[in-house]
Amino acid sequence: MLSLAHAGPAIASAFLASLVEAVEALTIVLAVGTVRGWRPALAGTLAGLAFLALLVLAFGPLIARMPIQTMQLAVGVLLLLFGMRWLRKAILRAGGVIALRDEAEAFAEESAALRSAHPLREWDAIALVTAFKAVVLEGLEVVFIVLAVGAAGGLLVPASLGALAACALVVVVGCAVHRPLAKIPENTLKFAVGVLLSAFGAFWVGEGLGFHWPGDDLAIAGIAALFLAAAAAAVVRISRSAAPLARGGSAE
Amino acid sequence: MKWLAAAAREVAGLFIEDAGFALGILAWVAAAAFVVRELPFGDPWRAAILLAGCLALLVESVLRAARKRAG
Repeated sequence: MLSLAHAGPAIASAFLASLVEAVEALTIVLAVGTVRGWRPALAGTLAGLAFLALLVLAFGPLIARMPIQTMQLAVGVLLLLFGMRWLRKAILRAGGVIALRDEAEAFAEESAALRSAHPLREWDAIALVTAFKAVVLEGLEVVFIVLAVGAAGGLLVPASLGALAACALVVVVGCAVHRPLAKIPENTLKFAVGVLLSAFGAFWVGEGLGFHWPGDDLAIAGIAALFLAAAAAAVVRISRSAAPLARGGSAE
Repeated sequence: MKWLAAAAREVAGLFIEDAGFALGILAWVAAAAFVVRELPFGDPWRAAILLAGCLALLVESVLRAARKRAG
């Protein structure tokens, strides 16, 4: 039977990462709906979700057919690149080197750009494409994370459930408040997800290369603790030298 | 074909932000595959060396970026 200690890190990674990506997609879809109308916003969103479903159907079975060690190494390398990129950026944000992401500001910028775009028509192509692109780009990250943390460890179903729960939560709260979810501690979540994905990446690269981690799957928690400690130390180190940055400045 | 190149750039951007950092990670994984694997240590030590290299790459890249921004 699947234990929480075995599946917990995969579920947590998929849930937290999906929460962050869904919040970012919601901000853009809300801006499209508010400025250009809800019909193209919802059509673009549904088209984006359908495109993502096609990608999963196309690539999911391919991943399952790969030899296990090759898949572990390939997934591990991609997770290391992806997770350490997230963690690096989160450290730089936490240390004040680059500005924090602000959903309210992202919403205002997107709304302003949409207002100044081409005049409205019955089928607003700009609105539709903007919503489609937001859902596909943010959704791609969710799909990758679910496939990566799920497939390599045989945890595709728990990871998918974690991601679906996060997306459902964001949609329900977003529909209720009709505003970007600016109060979600997005940068803290990204820091946590960066730590978890980097830990998964190092673990699967090791497994793919035939190295044996002490404690098997439980080693992921220890690896995550070491990534967290190194990241926290780096934040302290760069905070001392970083010039103060205004919140919502030039967020990357 | 322009949209295809743009899509490819977006997908690559998911994994690569700082080219030096991404190359460092790939080089370290290659070193682990071809050098660390041949070292006369047990598996836990090989895994520990792999992890230590990843942590060192991360910290070095962050400090380098902070120095670059500062000055």
